[in-house]
Amino acid sequence: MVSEEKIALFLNLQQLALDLEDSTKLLEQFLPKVLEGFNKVNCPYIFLSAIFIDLDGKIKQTFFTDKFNQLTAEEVTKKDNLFQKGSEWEMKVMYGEAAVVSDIGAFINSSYQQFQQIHSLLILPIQHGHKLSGILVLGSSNSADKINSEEVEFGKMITRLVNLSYRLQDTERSLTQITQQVYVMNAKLHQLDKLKDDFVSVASHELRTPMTAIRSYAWMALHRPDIPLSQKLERYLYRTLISTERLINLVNDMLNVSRIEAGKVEITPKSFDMASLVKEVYEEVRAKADEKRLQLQILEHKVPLVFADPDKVHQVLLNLVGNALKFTYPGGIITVDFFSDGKELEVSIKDNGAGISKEDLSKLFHKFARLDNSYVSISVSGGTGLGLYISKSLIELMHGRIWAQSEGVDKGTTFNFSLPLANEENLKNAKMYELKPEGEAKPLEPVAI
Amino acid sequence: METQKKILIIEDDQFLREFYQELLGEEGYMVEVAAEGEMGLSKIRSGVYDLILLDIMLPKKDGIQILRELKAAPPVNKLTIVVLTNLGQDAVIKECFDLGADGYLIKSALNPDQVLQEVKSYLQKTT
Repeated sequence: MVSEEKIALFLNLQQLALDLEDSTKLLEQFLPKVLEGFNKVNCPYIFLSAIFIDLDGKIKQTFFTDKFNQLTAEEVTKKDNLFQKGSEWEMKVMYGEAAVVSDIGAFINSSYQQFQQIHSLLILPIQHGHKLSGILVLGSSNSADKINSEEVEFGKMITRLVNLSYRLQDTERSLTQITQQVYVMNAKLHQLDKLKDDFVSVASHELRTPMTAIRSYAWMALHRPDIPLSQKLERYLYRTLISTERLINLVNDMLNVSRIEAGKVEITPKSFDMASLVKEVYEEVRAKADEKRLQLQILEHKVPLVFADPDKVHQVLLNLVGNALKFTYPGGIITVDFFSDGKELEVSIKDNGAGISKEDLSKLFHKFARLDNSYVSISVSGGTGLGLYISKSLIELMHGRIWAQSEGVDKGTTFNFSLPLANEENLKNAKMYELKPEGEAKPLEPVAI
Repeated sequence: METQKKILIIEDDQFLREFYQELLGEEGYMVEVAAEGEMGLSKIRSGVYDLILLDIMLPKKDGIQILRELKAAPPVNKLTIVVLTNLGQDAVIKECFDLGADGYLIKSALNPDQVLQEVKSYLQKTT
């Protein structure tokens, strides 16, 4: 039985181990307290040293309570492995038993021994689970025969605390290390991200320059009356021109997608009149509509103000009206209408053009959606496969919804989107609708129509 | 007879530079070119032009820097500078106007006829 006095000491020390703030130096601070404690309960130890090993007995770390003990530690750590001589104490601790050593000359530098009047050593195994994780060496001023079983028992209890402290310290150190590694990795990732951003914008600029040259020359060849062209050459040049335009649009849209997905897009909501914005967009596409003899209509002129980012809504409208222009046959009609339930404004863009099959409706807003049942191929429409994905992302960033309806192929299509109204409640929560990206906000490239 | 208008094109891409040179030359304008920023700025300083078409991404001295230097030390004659570039970002556009540019055209968004129309309208504004 261990005395109550010693139990109380054990509990005190346990609390101390758990309370020490800087766990990375826990053992350095803890072991002197242990030695102090031993002395209070009549265990006359002069030094204390903890040696931790790995599974093969290789010494990982040593701790000691005073400078002189460094000698001990050095003696021990001179060898890599704790177990070399196959001596009695080695065998004992290997099997988890305590060893009392009276012949300490081999263990401790002799001058130190005399100076400190150490007469025996108590060597205790430090166990972690069933494995030996090290030893605790206590240098006693008592001779070996005076170290009784109660003292040994108590020493074993204390090794549990030493092991606990070691584990805590180890965990804390690993955590600190991991935190530092994560920090470094994070900084690297940020750097990479910036490099990627810079690369994307430089690359896109570099791509657009030669594409602009191709387009300009092809356009010139096609549009100058003084350049005679065979029918074939005209067709080839026309296709060159269209494909280059598609490529330019694709670069723009890919840039937009990368900015949206990287969270680099800023949303600055304002109260504005949707009908006026639709009229503006109609003016921008008027020439294209006239070319195809398409009528552009607005059914309602007085609509409640919405609370959204007008530039982004402009982008969406241009995309949706642009799609309607592409997929409506000459002589068709494009109609914009509004509906409000008092909370949101719904905008619908309806055409009587090519329509969309039921199967394809669900895929519309995906990136590079391939519409199986659409007979207007992407190459002819000049689409990038990204426009609707961008529109959906933008509308959702503004707390709205977007969807499409069609009765089927050749039955026309209606695109709808809804946005919050500029009512008192929404204006009060204006901050909620704002989006400020961390770091530099990137504007969007223009929409192709 | 109307005096011939003089235009300076500062553009580093050879094909585009020659394209705009030909396009505007055939329209009856007197066109000079510079392939990089330093040459461009020294031409602006030493010559008299009715219109300058300025690219942004240029070797040696970029378009923004040229605008900045012109703003810091404006030439005697009032210049009309139209930025003609492929950088279509709001921030860049705003900076150009802040630095005194009179117009901003995005190359990849305009066909040659539209570029001509723009040039004509800017030249009309200057007279």
